[in-house]
Amino acid sequence: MSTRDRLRDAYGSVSEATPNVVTSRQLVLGSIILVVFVLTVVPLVFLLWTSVWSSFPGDVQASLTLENFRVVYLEGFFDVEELFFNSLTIAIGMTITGIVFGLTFAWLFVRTNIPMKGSMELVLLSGQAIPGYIIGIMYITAYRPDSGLVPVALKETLGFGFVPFDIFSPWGIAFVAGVNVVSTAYLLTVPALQDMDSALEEVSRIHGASIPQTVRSITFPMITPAILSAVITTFLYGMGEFAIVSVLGSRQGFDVYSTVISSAIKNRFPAAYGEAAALSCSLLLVTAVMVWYYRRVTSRKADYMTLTGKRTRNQTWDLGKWRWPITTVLWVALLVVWVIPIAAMVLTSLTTTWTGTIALENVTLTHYASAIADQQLRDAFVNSVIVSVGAATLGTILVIGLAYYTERTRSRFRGFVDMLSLTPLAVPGIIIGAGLIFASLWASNVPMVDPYGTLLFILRTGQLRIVVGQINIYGTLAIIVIGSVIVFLPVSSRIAVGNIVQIHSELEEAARVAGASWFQQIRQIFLPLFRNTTIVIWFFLLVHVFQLLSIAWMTYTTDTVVIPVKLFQLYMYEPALSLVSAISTIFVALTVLLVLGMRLAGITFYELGQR
Amino acid sequence: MHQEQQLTVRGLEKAFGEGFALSSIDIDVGTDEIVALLGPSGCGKTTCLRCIAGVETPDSGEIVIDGETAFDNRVAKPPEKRDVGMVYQSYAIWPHKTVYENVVFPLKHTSDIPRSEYEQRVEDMLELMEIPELKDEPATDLSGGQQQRTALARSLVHDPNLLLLDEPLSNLDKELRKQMRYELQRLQHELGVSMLYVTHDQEEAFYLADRVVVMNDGEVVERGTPRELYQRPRDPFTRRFIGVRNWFGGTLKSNGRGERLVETELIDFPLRNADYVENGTAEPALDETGTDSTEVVCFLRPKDISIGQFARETEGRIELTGTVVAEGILGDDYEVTAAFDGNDTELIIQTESYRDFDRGEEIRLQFQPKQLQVYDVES
Repeated sequence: MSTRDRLRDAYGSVSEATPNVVTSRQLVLGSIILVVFVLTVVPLVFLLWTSVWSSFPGDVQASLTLENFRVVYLEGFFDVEELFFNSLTIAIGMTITGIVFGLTFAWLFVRTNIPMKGSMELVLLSGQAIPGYIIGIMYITAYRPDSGLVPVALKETLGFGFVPFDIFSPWGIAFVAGVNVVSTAYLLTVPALQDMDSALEEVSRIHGASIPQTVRSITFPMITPAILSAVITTFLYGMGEFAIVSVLGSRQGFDVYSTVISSAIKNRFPAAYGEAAALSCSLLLVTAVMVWYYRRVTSRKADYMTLTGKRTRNQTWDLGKWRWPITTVLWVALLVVWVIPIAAMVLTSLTTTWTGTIALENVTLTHYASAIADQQLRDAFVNSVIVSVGAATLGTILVIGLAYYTERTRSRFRGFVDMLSLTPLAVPGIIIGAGLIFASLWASNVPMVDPYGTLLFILRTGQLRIVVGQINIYGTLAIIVIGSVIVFLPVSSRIAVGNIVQIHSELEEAARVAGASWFQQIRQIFLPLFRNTTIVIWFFLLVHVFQLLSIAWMTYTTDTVVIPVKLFQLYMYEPALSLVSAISTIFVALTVLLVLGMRLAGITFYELGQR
Repeated sequence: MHQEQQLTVRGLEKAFGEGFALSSIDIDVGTDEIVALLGPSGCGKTTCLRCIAGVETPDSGEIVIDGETAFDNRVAKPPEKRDVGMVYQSYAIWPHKTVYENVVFPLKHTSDIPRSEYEQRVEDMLELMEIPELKDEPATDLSGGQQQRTALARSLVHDPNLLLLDEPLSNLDKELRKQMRYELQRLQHELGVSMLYVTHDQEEAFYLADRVVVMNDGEVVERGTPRELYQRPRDPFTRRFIGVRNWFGGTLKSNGRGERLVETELIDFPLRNADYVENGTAEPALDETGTDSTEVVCFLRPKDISIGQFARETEGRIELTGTVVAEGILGDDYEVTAAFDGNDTELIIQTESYRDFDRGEEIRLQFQPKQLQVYDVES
């Protein structure tokens, strides 16, 4: 199949009056859709291929086999049953924690007159600026039984160091991982609560139901689609959770799918590629079913929205005498869950060795000095900047093209492309990373069409020729960029689609009617109108790619270490909690500064859904 | 003394930000009475209703429902303790429940009726609303009229002391609106429930209500029976709002012979011939010198003007000749708009018999001066 045929296929029925001429619009959109297709499908294809290949990826002297599956599922190469239940424990605990906190905050902030909403929301959303491995480190400095800030402080003041939860137990790990997704659950349910006609709640109370009864029988059932999508999203994150489980669980030998797949590929010699791939398949089966269900749930949303009527000024409930007690409880929760761990980490970074208390003679800035002076860290920082700028740029171009394709054309592949953009939701970052490794091993061993080389050749000579060669992206920053784009494709494409529908297509049609070509229309009408969303998507990707551990962890080599990998190595392989805390503090401070700077410039991520 | 009152509102105040405020609203609804709150959109009538229902908190005032204080400076009962029913403009039917689940809701939460009787009660209510066949339908499949009936059934099923209706008919089409207007009256007679009815449509208010309260800019402008308000409203706002579309300004002067004359752009006429409505103030003092003058505003109903001139009996009538600027059939009537040379005032005329005027054609009009209602302009 020639590239043009494939383009046309991807482009489908949109072809205009001249079927044999590829228009500029078809070329641009077609290439973008092709790239999306390659990015979402290729890692999975190579993963499946590796799972049924009798040798390592890239070895052509091998054959198809089911041996890997037999070894993994029948002979106990991995303890699949335990892994499955561990992953399930994390996913369930994480979902419950995230949803209970997220939904409670969402309802109280949107639907009641609780005081101090603004500041509490700021604390809550700051969670978006802190990646999971740093949350794990924060909790260790705050709640480790022997040397955590809270247990030690309790022992000194009350004489006993009892903390009701053990952060190293499976449910403890699940709780900490859940804390990490509270802001996600919050952001996924807030828009639905804001859009709900408050008359539906009012009429319930007028006809005799109290506030709790109304919440139970009207509010929550009304926003069920949003709650379900939050539940499924956090559950999917939970099934693939890697960073927090590694930080808190690995020293106790607590493993989940992601940690085992990662170590089978990275720590074993020879690497257990086929077995890891075969193990991934059973997890993918579970998550695929959930993503399918997710799509059903989110498309059914329309049913619930038809009757909401005109949106009036939304009334909030007066909590009366409960206002301040509830606020106090929320602040205590925020304090225990967020503020104390952050404070403990900052204190740790300031002491020579962390023992749970801070004494003046131990206060030092040496960790900060060594963090800033460390050449490796500087290199990692430069790599991180390159990766996040590259991924943000590539990702932004892709999702805008994707959103334009699904919302503005009448192609019959729109549904398929929309589904493609969601598939990475079902594939944990570690498995995407594994798939990319397999793909790059094949690419570097077997001669293939080299798109980059072809492009260079065409640009240099002006002749159209397809260049065949070995592509070596393993060990480059490019593979991290590609993986990061894939991981954030579902979220960033949702943002783009959600905003493209806000722009009336008449505006673009009017430009065409007035004589502009498609390109001119895009340049002069669509892109200027879409500029704000573009900026937001770009920054969203920048911040999140900068924090992303899973892809980088799977695909880095000594030359391509990025900050998350460096931090993770320092924590896992060197007992340098204070240094790690110092780097994390700088890291979080940088992110917070960036997010605050964007806020000042009028860019906020989380209001996007409603604009 | 309030035994006969279902609802008493005294001195209700509610401010919103800078601009809008409700100021000292008094409303009474007696047993089995329908009271309409009539006013243009944004006048505060819906806010009043929401304060009474308890979903909005007034700044001050007193609300007594069925002899029990629902709100004053010490008490603020939550909505669920006020035992009222309410129909929203948007109906607010819960889309995730069936018709039955929507209607049974108040029974579950307000009454001590045993569970076993729920079904019968709901079925009776749906029967009364003439939608028994919709019982198990999901609420998302209902038409506007069916939603309306479901909302009414839900608001009445628990036998509330007071039914609050917020523009319940405004989202229906014209024919359905007429039908529901009738049905509401029928329901009120059959169930004997007191209603407070918010609307911006004077036809609806006058048709349904026993008494009408007219509101504008957060204040009660006037109150009375539909008949009183229709025939001789005291306030020029009411006059204008309830659909007298012909009105023009003028000056009240003394002609120096002990008679007072109204001078307008259109016509001059002696005040004694017209219908002079005092705004509760003393009649303007007669000023013999003729130097003093008062601003007045004159109203004339479109149907009180007749087209053509009579050969005889023009005695006392006012005659005008103008030019047709617009004409057409409007509902059951034929409507003409006429302009007059040399001034900006236009008159709208409605007749029951069809005429065939062209735009630009000359038209002769006449009316009895008694039909002119003259009000002082409030300073």
